[in-house]
Amino acid sequence: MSARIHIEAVSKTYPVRTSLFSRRRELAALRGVSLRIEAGTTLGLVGESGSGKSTLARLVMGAENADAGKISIDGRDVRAGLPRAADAWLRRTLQPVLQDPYGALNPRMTVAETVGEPLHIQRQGSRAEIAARVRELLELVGLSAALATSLPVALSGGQRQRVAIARALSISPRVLILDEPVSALDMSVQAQVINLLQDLQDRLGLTYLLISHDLAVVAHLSTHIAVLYLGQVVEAGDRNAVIRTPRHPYTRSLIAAAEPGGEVEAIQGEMPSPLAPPSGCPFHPRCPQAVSECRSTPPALRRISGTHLAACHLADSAQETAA
Amino acid sequence: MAPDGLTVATPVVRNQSPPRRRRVRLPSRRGLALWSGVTLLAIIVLASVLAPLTSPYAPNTIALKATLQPPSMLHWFGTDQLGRDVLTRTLYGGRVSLTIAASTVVLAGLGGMFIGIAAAYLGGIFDMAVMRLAEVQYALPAVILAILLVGVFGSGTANVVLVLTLTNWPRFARVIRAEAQSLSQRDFVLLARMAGASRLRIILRHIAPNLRSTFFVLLTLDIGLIVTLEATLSFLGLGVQPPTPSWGGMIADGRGYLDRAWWTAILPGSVLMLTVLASNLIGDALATTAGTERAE
Repeated sequence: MSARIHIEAVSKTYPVRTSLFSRRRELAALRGVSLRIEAGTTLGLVGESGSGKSTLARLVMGAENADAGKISIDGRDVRAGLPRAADAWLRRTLQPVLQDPYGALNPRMTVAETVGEPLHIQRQGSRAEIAARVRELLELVGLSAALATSLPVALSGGQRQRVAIARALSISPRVLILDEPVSALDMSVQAQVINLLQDLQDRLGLTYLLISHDLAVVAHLSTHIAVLYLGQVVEAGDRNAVIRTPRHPYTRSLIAAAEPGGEVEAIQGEMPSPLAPPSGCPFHPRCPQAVSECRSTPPALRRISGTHLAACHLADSAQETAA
Repeated sequence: MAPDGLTVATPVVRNQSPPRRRRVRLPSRRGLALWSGVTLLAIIVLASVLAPLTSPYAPNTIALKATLQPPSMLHWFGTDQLGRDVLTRTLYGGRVSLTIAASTVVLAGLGGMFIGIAAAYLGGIFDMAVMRLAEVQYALPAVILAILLVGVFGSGTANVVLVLTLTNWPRFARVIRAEAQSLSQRDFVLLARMAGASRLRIILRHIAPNLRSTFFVLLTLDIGLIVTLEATLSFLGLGVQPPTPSWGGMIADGRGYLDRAWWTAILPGSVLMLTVLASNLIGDALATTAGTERAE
């Protein structure tokens, strides 16, 4: 099976100025992230806000460029400002679905215009063909064809997100970047949209990069999970390995926090500022098991078993604690 | 004594009813402002446009036997120092003033919108240059700048339009630029980019249509302002040249007779004031509507 998405040692820093007169500082949003998403699978990316999830999404969708590292889909470069033909290929291969269903739709465009726009831009078919395809897509995401002429104002949040998904699917992409696709929706609507996404993947063989801070959503939809902390992957592997035998203390506390009725092992404090990352292991200031080594040496991402990776000095002994 | 839940519930219910009533009343108050503005402006525009058909007098016919007549059934607004009918001249003046205001607003509006969108979208040196120029113009009083420009281009109707356009585009450009910038940060613009949309398509399909309500608010609010500016120029003798009637010119002429014949200045001035009022009523009502639209 060909690996569909390759993310290799990607780093991204943003220059920030905290006040007009202060020195410009570097915010390291991503620090050497490497991930691989196989065709037809879902990689769930978990992390707190500020962990670099959304930056990674913007890089993978080619909205911005990484400072270092390389992203490719089926061996072809992904970045902003590609030559025309390569860019068109990228746009037809990959489409994003974003978090806020209220911001994602142009308030002046009807549902049919929004859904059909990528087809118009990529010149996929005549006007009549596009109209027929739009009807098909609305049906696919479970929206009534009567909504085709509505403006976003007339739609609920769930309906808007379905429109956004229909639009993303219009040019039959093989990859969807799902950046918090359900976190702005009500619980009942969340379940509908999650089921829709799962159903679409089964039917169309899509590859998903799913970004969420909600571990339950990620665990439900993903085949693989990567945990991001302060711009670094701290644990990655297939879903069952990460959920059932988490090796990184950060993953363990995330899972404990997500389990209803489970013993909540609250994470101490807040995530450190990416402007001043701690020395050694980025998680050590909050880690209940930190030893002196953690404060001085950053742990490498090590293979624990099979495809299961974790970046923790204590990953081996941690297994005993978890068991 | 009622249980806790009830004592809490009662004030909540009581608190809810006044806002609900106000919510019903607000749009109608806004509607009232809008419609009185529209009606007022429509009356002034219609009366001005139809003046040649309805008025029994010519605007420039001098009648030295009937100078400075007070308002009467024959001369509703009285006559001026040359015996000309003040109402007729006011309406003919309205034709000139409103034409100037409308053309200026359209030219300055479209120009400012174009420059504002270009500045927001191109950024860089163009944005810097245009916005600094706009700020310099902001720092100078519009009348002073207009006087300077009339000195350069000369007076006359077409030049007044040119001068007023040159002094008024920055207001449009600045507001439109800010709005276009915030629009281009919205997700739907990112999604259009991610679908491969060209810059031109993003501007035409995603930015410009969403600027429409802001544009019309600015347009209506500006009409009042430009009518006043034009009147100021004509008052100073730099705008519309006599004997062509204009509101500013009539106020200037009537100024000398305020003690004996108040109607020569006050009545054209009142029509000017009502025009500005109408424009502001419409603009404010549209701004409120646009604001609620955006909040929703």
